[in-house]
Amino acid sequence: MKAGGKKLALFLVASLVILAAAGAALAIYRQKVVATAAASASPDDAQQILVHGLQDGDWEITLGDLKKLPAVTRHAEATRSNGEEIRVDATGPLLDTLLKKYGKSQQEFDRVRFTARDNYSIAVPADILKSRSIILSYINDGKPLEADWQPIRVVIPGERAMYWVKDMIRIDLETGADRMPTRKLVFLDAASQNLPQEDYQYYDSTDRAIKTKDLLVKYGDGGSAQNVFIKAGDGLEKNETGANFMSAYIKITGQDAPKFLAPSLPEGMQIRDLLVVNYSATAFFDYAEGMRVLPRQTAGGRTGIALSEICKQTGLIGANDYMFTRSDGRSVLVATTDLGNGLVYKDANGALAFTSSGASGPIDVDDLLSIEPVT
Amino acid sequence: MEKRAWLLASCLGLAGLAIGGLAVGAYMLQQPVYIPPLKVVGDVRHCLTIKSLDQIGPIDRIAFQGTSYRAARLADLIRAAGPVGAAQRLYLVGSDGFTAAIGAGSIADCHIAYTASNGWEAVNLDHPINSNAKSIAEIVVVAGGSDKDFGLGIIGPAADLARVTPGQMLTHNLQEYFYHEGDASVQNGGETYESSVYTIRRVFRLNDLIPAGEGNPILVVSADGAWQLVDNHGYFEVKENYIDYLLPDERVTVPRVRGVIVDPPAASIMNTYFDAQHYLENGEQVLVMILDGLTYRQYAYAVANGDAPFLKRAGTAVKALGVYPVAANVGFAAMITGKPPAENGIATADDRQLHAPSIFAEALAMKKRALLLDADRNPINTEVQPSITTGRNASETSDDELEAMALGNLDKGYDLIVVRFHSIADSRERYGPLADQAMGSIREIDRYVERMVAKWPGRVIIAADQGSWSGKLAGSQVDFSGDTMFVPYLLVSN
Repeated sequence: MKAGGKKLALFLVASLVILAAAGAALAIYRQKVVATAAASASPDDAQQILVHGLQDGDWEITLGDLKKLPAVTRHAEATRSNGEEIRVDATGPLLDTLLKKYGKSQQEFDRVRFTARDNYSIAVPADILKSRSIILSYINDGKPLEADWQPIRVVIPGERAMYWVKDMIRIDLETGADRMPTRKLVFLDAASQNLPQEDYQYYDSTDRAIKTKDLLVKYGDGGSAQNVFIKAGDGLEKNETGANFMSAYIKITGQDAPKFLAPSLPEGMQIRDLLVVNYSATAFFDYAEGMRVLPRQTAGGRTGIALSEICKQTGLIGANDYMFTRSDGRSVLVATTDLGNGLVYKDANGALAFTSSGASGPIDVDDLLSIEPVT
Repeated sequence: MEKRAWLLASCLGLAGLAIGGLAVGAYMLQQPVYIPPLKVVGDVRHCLTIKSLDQIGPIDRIAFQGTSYRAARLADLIRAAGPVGAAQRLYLVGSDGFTAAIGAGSIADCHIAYTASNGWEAVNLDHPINSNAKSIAEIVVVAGGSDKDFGLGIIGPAADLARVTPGQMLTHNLQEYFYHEGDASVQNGGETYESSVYTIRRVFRLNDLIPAGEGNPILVVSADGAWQLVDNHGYFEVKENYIDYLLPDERVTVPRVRGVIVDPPAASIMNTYFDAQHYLENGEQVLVMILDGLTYRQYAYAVANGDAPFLKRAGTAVKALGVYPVAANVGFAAMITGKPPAENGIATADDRQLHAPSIFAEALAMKKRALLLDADRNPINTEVQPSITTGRNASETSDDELEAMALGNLDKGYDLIVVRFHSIADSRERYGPLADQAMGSIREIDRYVERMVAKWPGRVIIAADQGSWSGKLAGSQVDFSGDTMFVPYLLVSN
């Protein structure tokens, strides 16, 4: 019995030691799974995520590409709409890590929309982009994502679960406030000649200016805008509030013209060398500024700006036909097939004109004021 | 033998009990037990979220009306949150809306306990029974009066209008605003289903505090140097211990607003950059004289009392808006970049690296010669190396040496010279803005300015940056006010 008791005691001690060792081994194994899963390739790595809005065209990045980026592991908690709290240790690269590879940061975008394979999509707004880290996780709680959550689960520590998109396959990076498609293009040079002008004291010079309100009332599309997109010839792009824009002027002569300004507007908010202003569905384009900064085109002995370039700058939507309107109100309907190598230029009288040689033959429109797609 | 068998059996039994107990304990630990958080918010430096009694401090065993409690002291909790200034009232807000308010000065008898039946509850041994709030969701600390380095200041060009703290507003009448967080959509079975998510924000309008026209321009400045002109149709959202400004329709948030300027002047110290740029582009020479720390009130007082005869003759300076925070080099950086602190990289007294090009970069790009003269031993990094002067004589300031250095360079063909005087800021901080010593500094600087303007052939910009308002010796701890935010700005042509 004495020998039996000793054996039993030894057995118990050995069991405890084995259990402890097993527990330690399990903990080490789990750690290794996290690191190994991050590094090791798997057939799932070929899964693709489409990225829109980062470069000129859409492109795809694979899960394997994302795994090559430096990964972080962060603990995150969120509340579901039913009040349930969810917690996860999410491992993956930050969205910002991916963007920085292309010289961008998430803070530069107004919205980032994540779309899942089942077409669930949610837009992460600017205030979250400015303040939160966004993890493109492929490991949760030390384990690779379940199959129907792959390739990526978006985890945003500190934000509601509605933004934690699983099965994410598309990223849309959006800039500019919600801009309406441009359905009317107005040439600022021509429009300002038909508006009341007033003297505007600009340093030592007395220049001429029009009120933005007059411009919008006469040549806008009647819509209102909370955000106005402004682009200058030096590349500066800015959103201004509709209220600030409506209460200002555009200085059309003198130094820095055309310049968006107002006596009550701080100088830092004034924008010189206006190229494009998008207000609601109307774009105002300054031809003179365009000639200064955009590529010039020559056709039939005339030098100006290609209509295609102007459409690109202003976002004018495509259509089968376009209405070209003169300053005197007369219009010409031009089929898109006739736009061809359309050119906007300044004629001998200093007025804007349009010329093209399309399918129907040469088309000339003088004293050009505006262009509207006919849909 | 029988004895040993019993002993062995007992040991095995105990071991089994121990293992079983551990297993059950581990199982219990895995089961989620939800404890609602208790928040401490309001006029505190650190908002707390308490999920267990142990987080608060030492636990006492107390008895109240026949019930025994494990409880922590309320004073420990409040102390941990770091009340701003002297806490005046504490509001114990229950999740059902029942709120008990007690004076913050007499809480030695007050405890916080957590019970299964009542959640977080107050156990106040000496206070009236109705102070023992149950299911407490948050404790709001309200500071007495208006602590001038915390909260939200509202000023106009002529007067300071109001000052409130987050704690005061949390116990005010607030609106609940359904803020649209986002829309989601999903396709199932060929159908598209959509949903929208909102969060409820506790907000107030500017008009709730002062009469202000709807849609009138206001300027909001934030703790991190944002400077935004908006029109008055947004909301101020009261968060835990700070206030944001929201424009929900534009999805614009200005976080941690520290000040609002109603009917702001168009002129700001950032005009220095744009005006200098304009004149340089026109081929003119520009001399910028920065009078560190000169407030508009000081300027007006000095001009009225004959302490700035040259500045008076040179013309009436416009009242220009400064930037926030008011700290060393922050205003200067805004002046030379034309951008507010949040954009130019200098938002604290410790920042040195600009994130935006300054007027010096502009001048260099135009192939113009530029010079910066300063007496600041810790200047920010600009595109030109500053010439730093130090005091070599018995005067308390280096500005006399700086003037001598400037006079020696005015006819050296520079297109842009920026000179930054500091003695007004120094004397204001030591003696007070309207003290004789401060006026004496202004008289001296006025003479320097006159001599330099007489010798300079081009445009002159005389501007003030706000200096810094540590103001300990002067007894002033004002952070955001008409005194700190408005400065004189003057253009002089030769």
